[in-house]
Amino acid sequence: MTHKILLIEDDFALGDELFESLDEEGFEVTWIKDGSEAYFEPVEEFDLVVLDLMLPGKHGFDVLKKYRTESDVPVIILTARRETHDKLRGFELGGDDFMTKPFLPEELLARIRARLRRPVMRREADRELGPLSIDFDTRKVEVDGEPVELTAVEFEVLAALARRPGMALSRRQLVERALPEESEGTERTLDVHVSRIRKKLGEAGKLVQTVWGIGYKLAEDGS
Amino acid sequence: MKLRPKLALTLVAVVVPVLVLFTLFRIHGERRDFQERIANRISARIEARPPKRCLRRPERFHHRMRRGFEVFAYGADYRSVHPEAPPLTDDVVEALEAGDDTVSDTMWRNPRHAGVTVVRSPWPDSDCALLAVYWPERAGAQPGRIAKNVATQAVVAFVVLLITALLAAGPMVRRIRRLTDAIEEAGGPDYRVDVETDSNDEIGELARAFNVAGERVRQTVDQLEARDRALTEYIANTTHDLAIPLTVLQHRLRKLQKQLADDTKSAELADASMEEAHYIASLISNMGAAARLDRTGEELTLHECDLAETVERVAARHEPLAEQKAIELNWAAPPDGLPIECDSTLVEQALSNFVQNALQYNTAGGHVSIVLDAVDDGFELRVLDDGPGVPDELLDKLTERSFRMDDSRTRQPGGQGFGLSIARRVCDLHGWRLELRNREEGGMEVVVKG
Repeated sequence: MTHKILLIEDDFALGDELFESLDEEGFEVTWIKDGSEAYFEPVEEFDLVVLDLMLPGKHGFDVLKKYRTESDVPVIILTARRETHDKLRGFELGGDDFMTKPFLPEELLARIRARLRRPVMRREADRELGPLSIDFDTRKVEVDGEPVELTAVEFEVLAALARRPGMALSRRQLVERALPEESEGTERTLDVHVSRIRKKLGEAGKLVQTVWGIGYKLAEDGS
Repeated sequence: MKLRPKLALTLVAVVVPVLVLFTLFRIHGERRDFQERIANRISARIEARPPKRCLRRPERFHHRMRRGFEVFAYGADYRSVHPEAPPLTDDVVEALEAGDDTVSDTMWRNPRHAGVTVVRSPWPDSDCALLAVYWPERAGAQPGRIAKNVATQAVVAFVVLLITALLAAGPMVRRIRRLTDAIEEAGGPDYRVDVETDSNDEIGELARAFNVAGERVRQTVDQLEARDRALTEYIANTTHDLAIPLTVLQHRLRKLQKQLADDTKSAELADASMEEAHYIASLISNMGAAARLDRTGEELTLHECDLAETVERVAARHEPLAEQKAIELNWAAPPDGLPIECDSTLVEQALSNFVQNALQYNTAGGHVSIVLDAVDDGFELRVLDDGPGVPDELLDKLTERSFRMDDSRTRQPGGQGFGLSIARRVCDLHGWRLELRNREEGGMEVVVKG
């Protein structure tokens, strides 16, 4: 499904760049350069708004205020002012996120994707990662359909990583979350547990990756 | 020394000697008066009943009386035929010649007599024509007689004087204290006191002088603040104006990079340009933050924010640069978030500076990691890298405002020094502890504890 994005930016060059990069990403973009024009735009037709604050005709905050009376559409505010006051005002009026100029296109795209994804809460469902599958309820782990026997602690470590595939967890977080408090849970023992998990998972062991300076993560795909 | 003891001491120093002198003088005078009164009484008696035995043997007439009073006889020529009789003083003779019947005179610096009282006898032509009563020096000198009274009076007078002075100083001391309190409180925005300004004495003058001086201070401060505001405003506007074209430049460079992917040389050029753009972007960001931090009297704008989200944002912001430099940038934060009270704009800037710094000095194949952990009631935020690190002796200086590494690679105040000094200020303002250290395995580690 193509997301419709309303881009409100008065600077022609910047607007042009933003329009192009959004367009390239496959979004359907409507670009408005004037505050008063934006004010009367039927915002409920869009999936997301990128709103510059300094606009001719009407200030971005006024536009945002008006939009909020009509819709809950995610609004990402663009600003070049490094004032926390501005930011707070933006959040107060219902802005969802902030981009401070200057920024790279990837950054804006990442924020947009995050916003569009957000309403769908990720449930703690079973996880399938390549050959690895984890059932959180029954605490069963399988590799290529073959059950793997993990100790309680090992399962907790793996589960903590599997709840957020691709995201690193620090050693300290893993120790706190997965290792039983009474045993002297140190980062050394964690490393030992992880190496055992890797061994037990066999081929899927390489999914449990060491993250330099942080801890571990479970790779999202087999790579 | 406080005003009151000082006043008392001054009084004692000045008044006591004067009072002592005055008292001695009075004691002396009183004694003379006493002696004269007695002498007058004696002479009145002699006048009423002159001693006839004088006429019989005037050369032997020397009448000694109680308390040491002595009587000698003198002839009409003012001389005595008695060999031991002292000569009459010139003043006495003069007064007698002028016709006075009774003449008294005090005698200073006479070892034997304090004074003399002369009366005429009924025998003017004899050697007993004049009878002189000499006052003894010691009459009235007995302990306590006169001195005690006079000294008591003097002491009483002194005590009364002291008490009066201290009482009089009381209200003045209170007024000065009140004025002092008012001045101490006036340190705020207006440097002005409202007490004592209507009094027409020196304290009033002091209060008014303070207000005049305060007015000048206020004007200067106002001027400085206006200049400060103008400068801050200028910087804010400039960063705003620069940020837009810079964003455009970055976006275009990004496109160029993609288009040039196959042309190695041009791609390198584009990469280098991109890095420069990044650097300018960090300068602009820091300029805005510095302007905010330097604004006089500017407080943090504290609000609830999620530090985990800030970490994510900063990581996302630097991901393109890291990728371009082939540095692995990783981050980890508590999955449930880490809410804190902070000025998120400044905190984001500070963290950006740490990350920017770590990326800047690292090389292809290196690592930079941002780790946020919840610790006890707070957090621990670490930025670590496996870059070249910093010589130990320079670590402390790194966050000083004016510091720049003496290295051709560090022309950028956006890297070392400027950016890190802003980060240090932000940490200080939030009351967080910032530590920079070299890791044992090589590279640097920045630790913020809050």
